[in-house]
Amino acid sequence: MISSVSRIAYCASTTCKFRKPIDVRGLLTRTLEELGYAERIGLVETECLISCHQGPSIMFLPGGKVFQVRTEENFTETLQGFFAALQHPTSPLLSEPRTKKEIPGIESVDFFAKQRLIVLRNRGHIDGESIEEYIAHDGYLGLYKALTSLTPEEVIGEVKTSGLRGRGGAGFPTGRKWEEARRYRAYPKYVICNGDEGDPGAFMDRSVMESDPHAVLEGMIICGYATGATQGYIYVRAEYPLALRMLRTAIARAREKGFLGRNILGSGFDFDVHIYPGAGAFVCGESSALMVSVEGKRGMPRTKPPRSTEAGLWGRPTCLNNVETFANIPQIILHGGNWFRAIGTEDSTGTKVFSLTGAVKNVGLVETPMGTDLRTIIFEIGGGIRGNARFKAVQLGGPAGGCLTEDHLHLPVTFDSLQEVGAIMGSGGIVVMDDSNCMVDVARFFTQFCVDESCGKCVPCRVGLRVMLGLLEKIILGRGEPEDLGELERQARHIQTTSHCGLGQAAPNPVLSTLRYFRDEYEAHIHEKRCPARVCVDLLRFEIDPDKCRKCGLCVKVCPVGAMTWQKGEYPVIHRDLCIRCKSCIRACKFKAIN
Amino acid sequence: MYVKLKINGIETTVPKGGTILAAAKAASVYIPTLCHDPRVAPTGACRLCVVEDRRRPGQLIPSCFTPARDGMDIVTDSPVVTAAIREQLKLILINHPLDCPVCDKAGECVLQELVIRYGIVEAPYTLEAPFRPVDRESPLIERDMTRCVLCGRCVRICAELQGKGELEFMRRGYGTYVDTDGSRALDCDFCGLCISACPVGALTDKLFKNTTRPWKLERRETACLHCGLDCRIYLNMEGEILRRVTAPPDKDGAEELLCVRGRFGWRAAAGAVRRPPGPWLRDARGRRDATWEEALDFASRRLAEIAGERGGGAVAVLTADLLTTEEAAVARGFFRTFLGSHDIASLQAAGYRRLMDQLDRMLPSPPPPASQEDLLAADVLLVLGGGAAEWHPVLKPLINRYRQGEGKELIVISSWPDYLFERATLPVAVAPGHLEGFMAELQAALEGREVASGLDASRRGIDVGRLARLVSLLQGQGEIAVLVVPDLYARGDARAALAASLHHRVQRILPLGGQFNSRGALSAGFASPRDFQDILADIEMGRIRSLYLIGEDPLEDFPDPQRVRAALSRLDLLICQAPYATTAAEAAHVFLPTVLPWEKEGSVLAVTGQRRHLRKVMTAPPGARGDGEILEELRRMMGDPPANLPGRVAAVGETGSSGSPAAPPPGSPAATAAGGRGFPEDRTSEANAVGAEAPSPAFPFLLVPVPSLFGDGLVSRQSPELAGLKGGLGVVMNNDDFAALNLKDRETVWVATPYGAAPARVRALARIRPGTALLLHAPGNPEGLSLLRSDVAAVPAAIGRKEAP
Repeated sequence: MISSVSRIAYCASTTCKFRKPIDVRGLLTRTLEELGYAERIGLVETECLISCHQGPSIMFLPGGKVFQVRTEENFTETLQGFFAALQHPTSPLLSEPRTKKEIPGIESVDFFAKQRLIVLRNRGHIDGESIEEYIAHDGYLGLYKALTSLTPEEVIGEVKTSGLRGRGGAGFPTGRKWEEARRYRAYPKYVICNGDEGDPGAFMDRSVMESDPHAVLEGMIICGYATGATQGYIYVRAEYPLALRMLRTAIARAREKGFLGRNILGSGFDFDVHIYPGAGAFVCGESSALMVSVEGKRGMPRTKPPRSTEAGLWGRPTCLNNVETFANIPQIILHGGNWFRAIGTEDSTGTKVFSLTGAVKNVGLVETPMGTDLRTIIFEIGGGIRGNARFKAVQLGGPAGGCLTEDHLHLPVTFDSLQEVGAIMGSGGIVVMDDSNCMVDVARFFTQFCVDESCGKCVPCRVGLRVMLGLLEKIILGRGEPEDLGELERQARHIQTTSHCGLGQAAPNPVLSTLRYFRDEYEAHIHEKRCPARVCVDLLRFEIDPDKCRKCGLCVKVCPVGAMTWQKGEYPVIHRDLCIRCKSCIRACKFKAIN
Repeated sequence: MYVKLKINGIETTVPKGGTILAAAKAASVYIPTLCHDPRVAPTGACRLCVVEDRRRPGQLIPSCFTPARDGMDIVTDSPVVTAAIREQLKLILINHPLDCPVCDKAGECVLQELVIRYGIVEAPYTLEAPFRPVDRESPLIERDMTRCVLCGRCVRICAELQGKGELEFMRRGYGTYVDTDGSRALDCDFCGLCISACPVGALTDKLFKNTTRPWKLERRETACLHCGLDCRIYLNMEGEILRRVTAPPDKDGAEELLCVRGRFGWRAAAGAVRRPPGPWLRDARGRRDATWEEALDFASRRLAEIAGERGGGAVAVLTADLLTTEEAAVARGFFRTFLGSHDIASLQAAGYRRLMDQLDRMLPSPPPPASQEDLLAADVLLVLGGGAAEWHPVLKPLINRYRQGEGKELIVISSWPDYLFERATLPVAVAPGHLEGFMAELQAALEGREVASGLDASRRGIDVGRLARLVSLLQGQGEIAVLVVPDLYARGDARAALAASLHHRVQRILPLGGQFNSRGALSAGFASPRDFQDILADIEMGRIRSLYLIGEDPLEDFPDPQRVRAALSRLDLLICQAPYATTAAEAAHVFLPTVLPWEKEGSVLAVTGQRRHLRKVMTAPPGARGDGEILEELRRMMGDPPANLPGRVAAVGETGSSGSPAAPPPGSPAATAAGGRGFPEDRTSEANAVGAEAPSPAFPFLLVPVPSLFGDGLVSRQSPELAGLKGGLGVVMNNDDFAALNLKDRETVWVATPYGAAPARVRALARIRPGTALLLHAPGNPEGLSLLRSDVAAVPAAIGRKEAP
């Protein structure tokens, strides 16, 4: 069925490259050459074809059947096998992980079927480097509509109607922000796209920038037209080399085609975009710190007022939005605000892209309408918990977010519903945790992250967080005292109420939410000097529980220092003087028999 | 537009946009702050200034940057607020060293005050101490960052006001500290604004270190001696011992601006320099100490003889402009009216005096007083000539304040990249030696006159686009203020003419380069249009037989010291009346020690035109007398005016502008060496403009002597601290030239000109025009002065490792 294939899309995302370091492009080029199809079948570089846990993946177009590249060896035969497999109505080479059911095409997978794609609509379908393909998929049509038939006020009106709220985390209404930026009469004005995605476990923005850079550009140009700005900046973290490359190519192509530069589409509107690679400070995701950083100074949040829509970059009105926000704009202009408003809920309209990671089976990018509940996201799209572990908690909104329990799984994910229970939407990171996670340790991890990333400007965040971290470490080391919990809570409230920027104000959230929902774990650490999830190594006694032990001897095999001895039919013996407390035995034991 | 709100129940108003903190201040309500400094933009780092709005209890508002809004009901001392402040202080105190007994800040430390006010007695937290640099190597400023509370005031004031950005935050989070790049010693302007901003003992004054305790100090207000801006300063006195200099508080309660000379140059007046214990005489038998009666008797007799024989015109005066205005009036009476002398000049203030003289003649009315605020009010600040902020370093923060205003333009026309040039919105670089010619052409063009060569910008090395913008700004609607800056040793006459020709368009014209009371001396008429160059020629021709030095020393502050020495040796009488025994004092027939302005009472007039009355704030050394007192005594002893004596030659005329011989051809060293014969009649024409000699293969560079930030005047030269910062003769050259010669930073090189050679420390600067080199710190350095010739803006020079032939 080779005749039906016109293109092969291959995933070039960082995730796939990390999984197996295969040069898929080179491999495909060579093999197609060898088979004589090089002329007829084009290659498309794209991003995230299917759940990242199975990559690297390739997809045959049209049709959208996805296969995995497991090894470079005998790839000619493998590819021929793929071509042969295309004849079958289903693909025998890819099965749905949970049900082992064969998958006919990408749309029939639960992971995709339950999603609604607006921001990610072009993912895998077009070559991100090709502006022609973007245009063929209605690209720059929104811009054309805006420039030719809408006034800037009408563009803003459309965005306001859509109810779009900033996807960077705070959820500020985008239309209102644009309106403010338009109101101030100081020139030049700037548009900034915040691509400094820094939350651990978040990769939505990277994927959008890598797979559909023109959508971001188009959104920015429309924003520039609406606000009266003539210069745009994309602030991308330098740790995203592919995103940087794709954006650079996209900007060059857009300039060639006249979507950037002087007199765009003959409308008399001028706009250009520059890329500013960030140097890797988490706090530079904060909008004012980001602008200070673009100015070439040390990225630290500045005081407000004035808001950046009044005096932002270089003291000029600046409209800053997140990558995902901009990527929504072309569709809103094209289909109208009311179309967008119909998706999602009353207060949170449209869709949201989440990066689903952690202990779920299907790890990857998920775009769902706002208001989808957590259970759908985690158990239907995510396929549930990996292995035979149990769901324990879900951490939303990055290091500044909160941990929620099973009781919250019914919650529709909107900006406001999450706030009420102590979590935030944030930029959209969802980290699912199973029962092998110690919540005190999780709180310590996120607090450590914030301690490391605090810019050091204001006292509560700089010193107060460090004090909290000290208390958490004390608890984890088994030296916790009963009054430490009160002290933690007091310090957390102090940091929340007196910190300057969002980083400090939200940094205690992991501690506060775990204290709220998992207080018993803290108490077990303090009163019983016990870590229920058996994570905190200083609280482990390394004893065999005779009730649970089945005397299988697996623990002895994995011990790297020979600190365990065992004879068939006997309980293993741990020699404490040799043990290095590496927890290999605990991880290996299937019966949780080692405490 | 005012905002009305309540602070702790007290109704108060602030202008719209004012902060809650300002409102509290207006209501006399205390709010604790640590990082707040009214001189710089707020940052909100210490979070001590939190307050609560009764309408939204529990929500803490940082008051130092949150604007006050109508109807706010602010509480500053609720339990929630106080608890937050106490918690903040506890966090700040973690690892803050409790070395208050040896900390110089103790007694005026803001943290100490706060800890006592909020009664922090327990330290509930311990954390490991993060790395903090301690710098005891830097001159004058000690940085002990273990005491730092990271308020960032030093970082902000250095970047925002002084424009240096010498200090910056390093690392982040709990490991944050303030340091220089690469953790090196400070290499900055040493203005000490960072010290004035530091609320704790992290940045301290090394001169003050371990000398006394702050609470023992009495602050006496006076004016700084180091330049003509006469900044207000506090002498911090422990009894009669001067311990340090600080600036008095401004209207917001923060310290006023001060520069390195004001803050660290005080030992020139107290402590460092041995002042002469009494007068001395030198005659055929050599130098001998004399009583005041003997010295004055000798001086009066010899003056009377010379003036009697050859007329008052045979007596010339050089003044360092350290006289009070009243003394200057006495001096004028003595020298001009009584003796009939018509040569009263200055060396450091020569350029300033000349500018003032020209403007006086060209403008319908003298330049009105311009306060610092007036300068800030202009829309366009036009600076004619380079070195404004080097003559008067407080202009640096002042102009930076100006630049922070919306739409402010700063135009600097200069032939070298001085401080302001590098920060100008419109820098106009003119090739060295072409500045005068360019300004004359610009003036002609602006006046609509035909320019012989056309306004040929490229010939002068000027960017044409910038020129167009310059003209459009000058002809635009904005309010213009002009700063006219003299060269160090060359007569820049075209810039005064240009400024004067703009006077109908311009709100203020402010000539710069004046010394302590130059303007006061001019207002008292203690001046003449002729400068030392003319006097020197007259000495060489035998017309002037006696030189009366009041503080000034031509052997230390005029190009070609050999020539000056030879001329001085021809004099019949050299009187040196000065606070210091400088080089000329050794050659003088009579030396009369005088007091410094801090040791006497009188009024001064700053170059801005602001008059101030100074009280005596220090005791004078026992052997010294006031200048006015000496001159009055001389006049009393001389009795009849010598004008009544027979044989008096008619004076050239009080104004001296007419009947003068023609000027020498410009830029010709031969003509200069032979001695200029008077001053040019037409001071604006290009023929008389000061040019530069062309470089040659043997001398490929153009060497431009420029004023030093650390002070070139008499008082500054006496300060060991300022001398240390200068580090001897310095030369600054273009990066590429520097690299081509394969030199190392601050290496000692030989600088040779057709007139001499001298060792100098070399530094590189990217923005200097290739082929140009700046000569720093030549005043007070005979070797440096021997490289130069007067009235030449630039001389050809060779720079290299070995001594040039």
